[in-house]
Amino acid sequence: MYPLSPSRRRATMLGIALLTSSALLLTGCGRAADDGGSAGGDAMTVDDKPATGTIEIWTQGADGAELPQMFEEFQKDNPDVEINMTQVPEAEFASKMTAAITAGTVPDLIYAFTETQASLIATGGFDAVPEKLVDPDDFFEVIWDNSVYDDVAYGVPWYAYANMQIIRTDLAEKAGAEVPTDWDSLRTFAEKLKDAGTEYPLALDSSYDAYTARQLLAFSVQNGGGFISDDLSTWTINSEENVEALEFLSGLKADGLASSDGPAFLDTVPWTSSGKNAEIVDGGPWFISWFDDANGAGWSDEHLTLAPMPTGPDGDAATTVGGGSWMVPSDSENKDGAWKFARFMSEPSSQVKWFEIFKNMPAVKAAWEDPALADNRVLETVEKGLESGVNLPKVSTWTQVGTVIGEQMEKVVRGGVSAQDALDAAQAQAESIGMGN
Amino acid sequence: MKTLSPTRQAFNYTALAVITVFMLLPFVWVFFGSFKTQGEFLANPGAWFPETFQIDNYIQLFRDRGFGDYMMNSFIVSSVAIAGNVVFSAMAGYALAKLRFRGKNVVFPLVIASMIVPYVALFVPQFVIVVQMGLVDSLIAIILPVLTLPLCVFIMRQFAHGVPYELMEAARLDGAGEARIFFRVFLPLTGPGLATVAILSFLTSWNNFLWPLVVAQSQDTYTAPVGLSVASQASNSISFGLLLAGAMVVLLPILILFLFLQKYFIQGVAATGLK
Amino acid sequence: MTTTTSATRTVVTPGAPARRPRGVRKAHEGSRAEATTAWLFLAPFLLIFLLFTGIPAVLAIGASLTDMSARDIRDPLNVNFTGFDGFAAIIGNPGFQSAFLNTVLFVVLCVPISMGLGLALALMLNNGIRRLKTFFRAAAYIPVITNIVAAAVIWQYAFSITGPVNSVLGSLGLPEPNWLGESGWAITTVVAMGVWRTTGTCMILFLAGLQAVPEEIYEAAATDGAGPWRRLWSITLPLLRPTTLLVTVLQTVSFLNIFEEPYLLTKGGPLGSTKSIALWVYEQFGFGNVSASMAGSVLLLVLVGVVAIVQFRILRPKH
Repeated sequence: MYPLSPSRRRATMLGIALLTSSALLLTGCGRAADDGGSAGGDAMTVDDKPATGTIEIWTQGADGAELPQMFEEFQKDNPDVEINMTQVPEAEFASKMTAAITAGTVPDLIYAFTETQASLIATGGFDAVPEKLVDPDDFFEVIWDNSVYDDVAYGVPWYAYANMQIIRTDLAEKAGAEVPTDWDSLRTFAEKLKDAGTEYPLALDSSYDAYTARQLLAFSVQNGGGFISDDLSTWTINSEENVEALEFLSGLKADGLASSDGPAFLDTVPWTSSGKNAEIVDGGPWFISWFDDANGAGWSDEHLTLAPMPTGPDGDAATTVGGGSWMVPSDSENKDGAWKFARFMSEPSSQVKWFEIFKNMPAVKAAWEDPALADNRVLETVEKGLESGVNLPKVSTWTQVGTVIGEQMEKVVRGGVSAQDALDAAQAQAESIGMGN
Repeated sequence: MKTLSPTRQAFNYTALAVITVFMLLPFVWVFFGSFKTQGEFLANPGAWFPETFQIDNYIQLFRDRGFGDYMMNSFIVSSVAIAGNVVFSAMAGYALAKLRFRGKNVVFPLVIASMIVPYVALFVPQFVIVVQMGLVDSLIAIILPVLTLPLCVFIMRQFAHGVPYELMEAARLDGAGEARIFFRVFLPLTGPGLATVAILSFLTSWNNFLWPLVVAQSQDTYTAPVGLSVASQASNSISFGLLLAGAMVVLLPILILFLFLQKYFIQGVAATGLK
Repeated sequence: MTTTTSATRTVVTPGAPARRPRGVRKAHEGSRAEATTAWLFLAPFLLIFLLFTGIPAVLAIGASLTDMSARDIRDPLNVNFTGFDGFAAIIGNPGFQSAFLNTVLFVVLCVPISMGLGLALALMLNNGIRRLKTFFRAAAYIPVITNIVAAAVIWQYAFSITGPVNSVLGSLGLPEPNWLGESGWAITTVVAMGVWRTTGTCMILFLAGLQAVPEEIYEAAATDGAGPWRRLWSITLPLLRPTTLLVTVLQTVSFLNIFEEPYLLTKGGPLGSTKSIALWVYEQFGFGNVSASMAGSVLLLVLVGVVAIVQFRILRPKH
């Protein structure tokens, strides 16, 4: 009797309801995006008056726990401002930001690490740094540059670090080896230590992901290569210089001078402490305090020598660097306050204070001249490293391409694939992934 | 009672012991690890026992990291989730099993289907919906998606099948209204089924991680798993002691609930007929 | 009055006093009051379903038919409709294909092992021992109720090269494998963790199923001279068939969706050997390839649905 049986009719109504509500939702999404300020930001000016209102800050990592001390400082000169901080687990920060940007429920201010700035900026959800807010020359070039896209800067650098060689002084002395300065001396060092009985003299990255690719990048640049063209339009992964760098690194593993399996995760400190490794080739400055935590205060001073990463065969220096910058989402409700806080955090006095609180190193060059940072061998080594820092390719597809490179590197180490073939394969995949434009 | 030969018993006990070791070994390690300092983890990852039994990690969690508030939020969320599931799943399961109406054959497949949709595709649209409803950063938003779990509806429906139809029919003929039948005739018979629902809904809501994280805009709204993840962050690493201590604390409520309701839980599952 | 109720019909024979005249109805037609009550009772579930599964699923499917990427999330309507091209691209993608094979491997390994262990536990706990039942039951179920994030960090830590597991093996003079760094071992570890986390569930379900087996049948068989294995094979297992079906389907669905174990233990490595489909989907989302991620989810859903239906057809007990 009926054109559709009753249950069919119900199903159809349900379907129509679903489609209508979906359409309404999507339109709602689009509208929110239109109302909330332009993507990419227009030139905003920030004055010198005190900040007012409420600033919502989302933090990631352990920094957040100590940040309130800086809020107090800020509020001395800005008494009318209230700062609310929400700590977010680092691993899920990107997911939460994606959801927030989609729904328009973003905070006023965040900081992003150098590795993830590219993909965040690619969402178009962040504003440009207002002109005249800060002077780019105050910062280490490599960190400032990391958040610059199409000549527009999106982040105010907060802190920076550079990796270094961390060497067991006593083991080196026993083997009669000298602190490596370039590729050849690095190999000689390793061979001497192997002869003297160290199981795997060098600790190289073995996670075979984007971080391993980052290590390869430093060595490639040392050799005169690089992963991407200067204008960011083409991948150059399988260039001759890069292949040589990969051959150098994998050769160290193949000859037993470094282990293919580690150190991974928590193994780094125990392996070097026990003498299984004699040198961490590309180690972050935070390791120094970890060694003291593990082995007792003063152990690092007694047992470790620090040196900048080796230079390439032609003397080119390139160091793995990283850090964090403050960024303001486009849908923020208190951009004025947010940028003012970012500016505050980049003043040399704040930079020094933060170093004293959390031990993160300043991104501002002037801050390094403060007496509080003098006579500190870790800092001296980091400062040298920052001068020759290498940025990750500034495209939103880096994480994906880096992962591909890391996977290919594993094939060289474990699967018997040649370095040339591995990088050719990575190049092909990178080309199909593109630059994300 | 079946006669059990001693060798049979001995074999069984041994086998069970071995399997139990496999199941519980990680917790032995978690338990001991929760008393270690970070330095101990860095120095000797392979060690099982702490050097001293210091309860610093537990103290830090509650005093400095606000873990008490996170636990309170979790309790609120899970209690409401239990209440909601018990009531609403009983209602839905009863309707699907015992009432006759058109559209029955459409709804039940929906229940099954919603149990197998992959979650990662859903959380962003879910969040947008919650924002449009104006519920962002509220415990309500955390509770809503788990208020009537399809698995619980499924279980109650199966359970309801085991309740004799004649009881409903007889009450109907005696003139009882539908509501009366549900509350007076059906519900009292559902003890074990409801116990099952209680455990499952508590479990799902208690261990939920990604959704409460996405919904919350401030740490006041964080539940225990999220709070634990945040609290155990350390510079370039994890604070293992805090993580393990937190894992022990988070495990306790659900463990206690399970121990209490074990018997009913199994009865409940058994009575779903499993057909 | 005679009322016969069968699965499909309620027939009231004439001559009986009834409140309202009723004719022959189909099972899904009841009185008005029943229907109203039914929809009222279902309303909360349906509302939540619509808001949190229905609409999001539709949106996800919609996104999978476009070329949406992370750039588009602030203005989702401005994407290009690409139809099924995205799906074709994924199916041809070697990363996805490898993820598919890995997932199949996980299912083939995890489902039988967890079910076998669960069944063994249930059999032993049902009637095999006198004391300590509660303890063993709880012990097996604890992994199920543990917070997965904490559990995974614990496993990752425990199985690192210098971790507690290897330290025990080393002290016994046994080799210390690279649990998470070599493909073969990594797969083993992920499978082990998956089994560890779900055996308790299987056990509970089998225990429940065993409760339905009446004592008398065992007694009868015992007096007939049937040994324990014979009893198991000819009596217990056939009677457990409905339970077995349920457990099989639940476990298969669960492992087809396997995500946390590979994500938290190995991030899909080494060499992508532990990357499951769900992990691949999540990774794509992280890369900003939104439409690829959604398309992968849709394919996963279809796969799960098909497998579940097939299992029901094959394993359904014949009445």
